Amino acid sequence: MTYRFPDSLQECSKKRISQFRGISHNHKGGQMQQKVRKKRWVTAAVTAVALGSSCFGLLSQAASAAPVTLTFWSRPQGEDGGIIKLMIDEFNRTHTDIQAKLTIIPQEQFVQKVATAYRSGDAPDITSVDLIYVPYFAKAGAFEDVTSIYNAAKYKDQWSQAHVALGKYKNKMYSLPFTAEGSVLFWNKDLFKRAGLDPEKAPQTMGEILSAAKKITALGGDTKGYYFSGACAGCNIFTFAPFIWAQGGDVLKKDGSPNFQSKEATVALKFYRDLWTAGTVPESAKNDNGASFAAPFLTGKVGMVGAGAFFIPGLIKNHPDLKFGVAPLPGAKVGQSSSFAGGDNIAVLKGTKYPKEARKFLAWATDKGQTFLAKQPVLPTRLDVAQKTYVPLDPVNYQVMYDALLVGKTPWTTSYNSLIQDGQGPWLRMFTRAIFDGDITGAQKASQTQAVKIYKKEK
Amino acid sequence: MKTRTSKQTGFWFILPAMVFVLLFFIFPLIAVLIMSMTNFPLLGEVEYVGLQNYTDMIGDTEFHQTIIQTLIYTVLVTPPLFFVGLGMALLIRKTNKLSSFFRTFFFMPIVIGFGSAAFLWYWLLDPGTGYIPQLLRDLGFGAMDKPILGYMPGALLAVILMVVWKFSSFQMILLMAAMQGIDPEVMESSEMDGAVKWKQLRYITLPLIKRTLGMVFILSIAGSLLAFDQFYIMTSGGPTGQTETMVFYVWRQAFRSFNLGSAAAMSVAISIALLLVSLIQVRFINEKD
Repeated sequence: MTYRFPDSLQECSKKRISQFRGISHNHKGGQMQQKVRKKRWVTAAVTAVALGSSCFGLLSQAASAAPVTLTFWSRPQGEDGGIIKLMIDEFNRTHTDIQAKLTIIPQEQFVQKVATAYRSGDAPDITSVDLIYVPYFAKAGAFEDVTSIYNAAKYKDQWSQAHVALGKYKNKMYSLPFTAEGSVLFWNKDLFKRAGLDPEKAPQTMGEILSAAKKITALGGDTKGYYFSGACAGCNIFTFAPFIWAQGGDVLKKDGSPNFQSKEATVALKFYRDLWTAGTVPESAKNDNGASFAAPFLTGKVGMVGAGAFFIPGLIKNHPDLKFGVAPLPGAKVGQSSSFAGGDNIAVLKGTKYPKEARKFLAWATDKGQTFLAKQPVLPTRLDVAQKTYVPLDPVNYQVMYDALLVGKTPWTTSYNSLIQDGQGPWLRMFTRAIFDGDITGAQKASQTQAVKIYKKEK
Repeated sequence: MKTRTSKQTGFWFILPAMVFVLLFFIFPLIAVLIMSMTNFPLLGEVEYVGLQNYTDMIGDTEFHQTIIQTLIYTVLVTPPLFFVGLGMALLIRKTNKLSSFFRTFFFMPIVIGFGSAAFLWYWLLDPGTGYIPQLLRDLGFGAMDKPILGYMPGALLAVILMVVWKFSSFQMILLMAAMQGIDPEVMESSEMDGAVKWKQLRYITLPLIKRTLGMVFILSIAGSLLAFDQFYIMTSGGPTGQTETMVFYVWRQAFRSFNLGSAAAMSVAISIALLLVSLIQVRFINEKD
């Protein structure tokens, strides 16, 4: 492949050379000629410099006219993990000055990969990061301050507040809301009907879930009322913590310190313990490290399960015979509900060569990109876009997701991995000891002690 | 002069191996040693903390618990690994038509990666879809709806079973090779003297393959003390941390808590302990010689 200088540059060379010739032909005659010759040399030198610098300027312009390529890292997102690729393709299609190059990193390795790449100076320009890890990166100073983009955004009041809260560190924004998720309750309408329950009415309280689960389990065979992954920390912060939040309790305090001994946590753990001892949950749940997660619901033999927006498209497409409903995860009383606000924030890595272009990308991703994502359908982080584009795609189910986004919470901590995500950490140990062994207050106390120790060490 | 040339030639031959060992063993070891004396977070400033990580380790009861659990696992897994390996080696030591088939058959689990094997067993033992609970149900062992991996001692025993299935054939190959190295005349003489099979094994075969036995034990014990993959995949350290091993704990420190300094200190301690165990074993074998 040969490179051809842009026409403008070739034109420039010709023009400048003819200008130089023009000057030299205007001077003739005797002694004057020597002076003129000297002058010619000076003029030639000056002109050459001028010509060179002028052409170099144009060359630079020509080079800068080539699109800037931004590197962008993301974990797999959406139903089949490739939604972000579609969004990047859309960005590249609609932009000529900036192009984005996507790299998908497996979720389990994401934080380590980004962190080690950042440490070695090979970090991407932009990253979409699970919002629970955003405080960790912000605290470490790995992200650019994007407060100015946040403040300039016309739609900042429309952003999911949980995402905004996680993006903030010491009153500055280090990332912006990008993609959303929410945990909700799925129920099998056929099983509800067979169990003598109203198939169109979701349980309104934890007590009603327990009662419905018992009736469904009573149908016999291998039909069970409820399912959760008993050995999966992340699954249970997503689908179990909302039962605590719905009552007004919390898992962590506002400063990120552990709050595992709240009475709301006791009530929620007792609820799951009752589900377990009543035999409404398959025994296999105890050892499920998340490999099954909500999949048992797809067999049609599980009455209820907690899952997220990502579960809906596949359920409709691949299991058309399974009649299901989606409802908020309730609390102890009617009217109480909550959800885990999941998804990603988007951030610019410190040290990027293209901060201006990266900011442009962020502005697009949080504006037009949101509409594009909503059409896929991925729950957007913008409430206005969710209402206008996402909800109409499935008004019944997606309205519930929208409502979940409104009440969604996410624990703010710079020690998420060790406090919550760790399979042997305090969160899951509290959960498993309380539910499978039955010592609820003992489990809460032990985990609180373990969590405080970790919190103090990592603070 | 000739000797010097020969030495120089030898040096050039071993140079690539030396460079390899330096790059991929000695330097990382030094790096881990340095890391162990820093706070080394995944992100952020690295600070020198002296021996703080080591003193923290001494007071870390959770780490101590994982040491005990690892030792229990090592004690439980080593004998079945050895006896199954030895049994198979005795079965296939003589070359005939059937032995080739059985050698391949027994050796097959070795070619499966450890991670894949652990996943295979995770699903084989699943109470809903696994073949093993289904088989036990069909044989009248009850509902078998409780996950074996969700309870103790079932979780630990299941992992041991998987490791024996996966690794005993490796020991089989080593032992078989050693047995085939025994002079047939020795065996024939013993037979003429009226030695029965058991006595041949006890007084002739085992003493003659003592060095290989030592190596098999060293590999088995060192491998068990470093156990990680099988527990990470099959039990995730559960139920409630009861199958969490030392290396699992080190991994958690490094990649869950992002505390690479502590993880490095623990790795150094484990490496020294392993070195000592291996030295004792080697010395024991040599003394007996």
